[in-house]
Amino acid sequence: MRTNNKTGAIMVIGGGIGGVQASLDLAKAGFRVYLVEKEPTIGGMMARLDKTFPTNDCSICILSPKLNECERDINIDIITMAELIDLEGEPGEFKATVKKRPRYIDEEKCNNCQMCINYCPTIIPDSYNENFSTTKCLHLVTPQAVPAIPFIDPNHCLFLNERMCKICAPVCKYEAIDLYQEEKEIALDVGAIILAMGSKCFDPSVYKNYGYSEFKNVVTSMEFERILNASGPYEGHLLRPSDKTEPKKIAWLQCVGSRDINRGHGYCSSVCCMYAIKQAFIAREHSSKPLDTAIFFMDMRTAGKDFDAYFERAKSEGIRFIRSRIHTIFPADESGDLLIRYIDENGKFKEEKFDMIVLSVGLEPKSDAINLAKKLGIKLNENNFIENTSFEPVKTSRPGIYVCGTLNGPKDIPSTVAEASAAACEAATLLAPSRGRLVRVKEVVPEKDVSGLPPRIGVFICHCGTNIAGVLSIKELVEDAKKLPNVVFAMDNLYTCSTDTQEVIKEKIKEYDLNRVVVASCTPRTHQPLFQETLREAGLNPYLFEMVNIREHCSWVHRKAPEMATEKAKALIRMGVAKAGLLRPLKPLSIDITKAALVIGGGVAGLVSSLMIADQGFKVYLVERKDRLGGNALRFHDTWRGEDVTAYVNGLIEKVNGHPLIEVFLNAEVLNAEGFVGNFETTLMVKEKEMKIRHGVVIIATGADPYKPKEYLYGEHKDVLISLEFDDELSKRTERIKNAKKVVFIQCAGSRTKERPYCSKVCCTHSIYGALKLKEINPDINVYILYREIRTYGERERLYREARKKGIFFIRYSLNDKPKVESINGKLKVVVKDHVLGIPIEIHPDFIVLASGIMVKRENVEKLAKLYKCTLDDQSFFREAHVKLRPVESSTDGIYIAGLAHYPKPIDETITQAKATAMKAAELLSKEKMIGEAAIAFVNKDLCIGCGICTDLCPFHAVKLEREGKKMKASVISASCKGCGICAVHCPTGAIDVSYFTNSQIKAQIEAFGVKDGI
Amino acid sequence: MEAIELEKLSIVNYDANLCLTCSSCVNGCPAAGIDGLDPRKAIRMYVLGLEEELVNSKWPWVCTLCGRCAYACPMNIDLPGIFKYIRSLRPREKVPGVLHKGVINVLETGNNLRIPKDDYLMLMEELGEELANECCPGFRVPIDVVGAEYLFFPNSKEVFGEPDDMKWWWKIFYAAKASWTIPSENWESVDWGSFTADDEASKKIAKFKVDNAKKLKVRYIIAPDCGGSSWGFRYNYEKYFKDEMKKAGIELVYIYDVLIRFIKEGLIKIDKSKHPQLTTYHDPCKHGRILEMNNLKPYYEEPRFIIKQCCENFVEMYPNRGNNFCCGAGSGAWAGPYEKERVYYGRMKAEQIRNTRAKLVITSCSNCRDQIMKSLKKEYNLDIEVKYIWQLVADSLII
Repeated sequence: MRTNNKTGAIMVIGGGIGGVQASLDLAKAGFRVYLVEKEPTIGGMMARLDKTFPTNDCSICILSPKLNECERDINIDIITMAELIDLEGEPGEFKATVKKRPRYIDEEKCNNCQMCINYCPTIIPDSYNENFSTTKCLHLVTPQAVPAIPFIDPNHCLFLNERMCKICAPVCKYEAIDLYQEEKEIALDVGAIILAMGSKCFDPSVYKNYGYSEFKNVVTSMEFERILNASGPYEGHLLRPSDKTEPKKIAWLQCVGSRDINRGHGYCSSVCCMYAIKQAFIAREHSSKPLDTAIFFMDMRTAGKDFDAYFERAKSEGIRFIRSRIHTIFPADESGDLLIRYIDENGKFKEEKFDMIVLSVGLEPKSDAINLAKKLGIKLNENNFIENTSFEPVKTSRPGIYVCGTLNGPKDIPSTVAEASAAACEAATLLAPSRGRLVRVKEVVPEKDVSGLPPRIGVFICHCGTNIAGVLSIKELVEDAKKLPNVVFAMDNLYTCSTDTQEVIKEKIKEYDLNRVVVASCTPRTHQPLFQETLREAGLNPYLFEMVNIREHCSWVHRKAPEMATEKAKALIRMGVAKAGLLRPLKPLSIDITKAALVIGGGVAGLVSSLMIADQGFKVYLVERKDRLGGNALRFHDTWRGEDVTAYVNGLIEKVNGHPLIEVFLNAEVLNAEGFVGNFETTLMVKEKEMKIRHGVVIIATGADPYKPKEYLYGEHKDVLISLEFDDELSKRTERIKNAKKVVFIQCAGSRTKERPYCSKVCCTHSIYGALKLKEINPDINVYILYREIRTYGERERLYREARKKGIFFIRYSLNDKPKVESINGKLKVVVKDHVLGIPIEIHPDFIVLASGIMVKRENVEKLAKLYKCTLDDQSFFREAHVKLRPVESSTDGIYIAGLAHYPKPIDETITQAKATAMKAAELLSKEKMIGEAAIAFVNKDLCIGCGICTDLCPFHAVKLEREGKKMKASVISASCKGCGICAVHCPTGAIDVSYFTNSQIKAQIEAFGVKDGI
Repeated sequence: MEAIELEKLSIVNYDANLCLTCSSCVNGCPAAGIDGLDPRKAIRMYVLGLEEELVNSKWPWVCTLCGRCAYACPMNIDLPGIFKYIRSLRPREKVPGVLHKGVINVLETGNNLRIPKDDYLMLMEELGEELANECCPGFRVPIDVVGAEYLFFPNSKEVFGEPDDMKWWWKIFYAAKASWTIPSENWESVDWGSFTADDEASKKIAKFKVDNAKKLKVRYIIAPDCGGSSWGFRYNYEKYFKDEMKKAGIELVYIYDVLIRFIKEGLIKIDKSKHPQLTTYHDPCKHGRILEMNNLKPYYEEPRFIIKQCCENFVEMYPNRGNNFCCGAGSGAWAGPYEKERVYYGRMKAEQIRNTRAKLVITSCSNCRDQIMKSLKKEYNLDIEVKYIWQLVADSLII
């Protein structure tokens, strides 16, 4: 047998959210990563966004911890200002050459003191802020830049261009500035490559009729993101560019550069509908007076999870949605106001003035990515995105090179993150035999013993740009903190989470001999691990840290009462400091991991996930309720691109059945589950026999069901079918299919209603594909598709265009004027109002196809969710841990979700998610030991009376009663305890306490709150 | 309301069903709303098989085929092409107004107004003498001069009713000492066949020009100033006559090409100070947008160059060039019977002109000029003077 020579390292090209996620996944799974970024800093497009939909989370706030994690991970080498220029060798054994442009600052020597920036005399437009503001030629791209090293813009530097100036160099006491630095080539051995180069915004200046180049108050959506952003050109104040006044009326024009074969691109950019709604929401929040917001659109494509709810909320909050594509933007007068004329949905001609207009520009591939793909011999599709297939969504045409994110077609952040993990999964699978070969182990900083030492507390207070400092008086907070007991040091930071601030914290710990640290900033949910890591690096136990949330709990919610909010923040910090004084070092448990996965559901998601986990060398138990594998996909025949689903699924089933590491249980159900991440024990009922399985992770891929409509004569008339029934007839070419002269499709039959207020995402594409098939069989057939909104998002738009071109006729109806279906002497009659002419149209179809949508029966998943402590949403879909950045993880560690169980989606997205879950599983299963929770319950046996209340209440079965002598005493199973504290609060004798949240610590906090106010 | 029963969709050509019903055409069309119709509705009717209703409506004739709808159409639908096709479906006897009569006339007599050859020749001789006496000693109108450089076609409207308007061009030719001629037969400049969507007639009218050019062995044919007619000729030229003309060494030029050559080569001298007032320019659709949309070179910068040679203060109207509003009189609407609609249509033009605060409006199409000068100025109380671009040049000449 050939020995394995595969290189256990991967090159990820592009440091946006996709590249960052792929890098983190791979590093965690035992690989070395070279993260190659063209710009001086990682973060990509997401770092420049203000907020993200549909949760309105601050974009950089949720991204920044990941960027820092990347930088801290010793198995990730971030190579900035670099490009791949040459690649030789085979998959598994590539030899790559990377060209690194000079930064003119030595990355090893620079400590980002920024002295040089102060001295640089050259002011340049700040492209990071879309040139709305200026910066220095020598500058740090953004305060949160990773790596936090400034760079010199070679296009503007006086020395580099004219051999004059050179003021910066002698200022740097670390001698980090090197104006003679040259471009260099770096040779790297890598086993695989992931392309994550993203896309760019469409340049709207070709739309001469929108006057983008002429009118200052016509801006692109990216420019508007920067305008809204706290670290943007106007520091988060909503101002219009022409006169810096606050706009009272803003319009968004959708599809600029998208769905436009005249001046833009034929495809839909997938994200603009949602980001326009988001921008309208945020703009209204930022506005001191009521702001009028109007979105001009063709179809609102809010097809993703929770997106329609967001759209509905926007409508109910008064954001106007006007279905009209604007022809021309006029100057209203000389004031900078703008005028548009349009026909509304009711056919009324209107004229409206706006203070500002945002062009919702689409996404398009970057030329450097196109060039690189061509150079590497990777096929591009008609739109210059990477060509892929529905079944291999993250593979390029060249083996060993994978792709994720918007370079692979326009998509949003969660889809990008899922693709990133899926691409990582492909690379990890290819290189599985070399896992762990090239990893470096982090040097453990010896922990300082603080026992018996009096607390010396340092307090770090974050401005969060203007998120906090825009409301609270930071100066007062710092002064107040300095006076608190045990506080020996307090300071404020523009961004406490930035990489350079971590260095500052470490320095201050040393300088002031701090043994407790309090950070007053945002939420511990996203940022606590980052600061704890900083403490660890400074030689302090990470549990000697306390976080105070003065953003979500204070500045954001009390924006309108800044003085009282400052007082509240003081109290919160006081409380944090009081608790910090009582913190003790904690040692988390190290737990063995059961290296096996349980996959629940044998549809495409479950099959793919099983295969990808097993191919990485881990045992898989695959459980299917029915007597055969394949799930819903067995009822489909083609993808929207015409790929053969049946053959694909049969291939998967064959591989799964033949895989030595996969054990399949048919006719099986989960009866019971115990244990936690790393060590679960699940009881299955297999053909009426119970059996127990031990595993470290769970993949939930339980799928969904078609909705059976109760309207449009379904079930009453033989010629009314639902999509799946139609598919079946279509594949069999039944007489009905062959002889049909007229066919009507009715969309949203059961989706986007009061009962099911979500979009099933797949139906528009599916019906159009079916309609085209009918045309193929009989070109003379007349097909009518009655729809509410055509949501052929992304590159699927091609199919919609093709359908219209081939004569398929589309009529829009509204929810309050639905098509009427009647049976007259057994013949079907459909009446629908034409949305353009406003007149009723009568069609006598041979049959009707209802796009009936996808739903989950609550009774099918409720028990499972409860057993594994996952949450379901109102529609019984499994909730992910974070809609943006953790799309395939459930809120419970070690439980992952893929496919329709998460939300309706097409097969390519299901496969992507399945591969992403396989990556997540492998990250855990590839470790020998797992670090458990340290903040867990403990029992004071002297006080325990053995009453057993705690054992009954513990949702995790983590407390048990044990006999000690004659008495029963409670005892905590450390590996199972989650530290929720239910036992502690119910213990009648106070015998149970939770470390890190002890009764005395909480009492101290309460007392600290009362100190000043006498409560 | 009675429901229309859909039997068969009538999608034949033109990819009309590509329509996303997005409404950008409606939002950009000054004729939208007239008789409750608009470009999107018209396309929808066409696709739904309501062709007859559309053919019988006056809307396709109120529409000036200006192409502003198609300019912004995200699906690149050739709306003017479709509307022209709808015009072609009108029985000829039901073509609105005098347009079809003009077509019959030109095919039978060589000009729209049946002006007899003798009258025409006599007028040219007399008018030539008049100009010679006024300011151009020795001037004569050159008729049928074989081997002349430029072949110029008179507009029957001027020959019949506004003969003095011909003198501006003559003055320029005189000042430039140009070698030029006009034909004695089949001399009509304009092409109403293109207005009535009578492709056959339009081709014949174009052939008159080509045959004259070949017979007179000229170097250049000057395309008609009239926008629709220039496009009618250009369309046929590109489709049928290009090779033939090339072989004969004859080139098609637009009025701008001629004027710019005269200016750039110093053949004429111009005094800018004669037009100190604020001046704006109206882009005729068919000299700009329609050419651009047919992948031909649009004349946007040339007229501006010429005007800036003659005027001290130039201001653009908004929008301009490819996105300019049609005056409302194009594609036969000036000669057509729908006056009220034409004036309504022109409101956008009037507003554009008013917003510039210009006192002098220049244009280079006879329909645009007539609509602005004779109709919109009065209807919308515009305090302006209107000139042809060649009139501006003639008035600025230093002779």
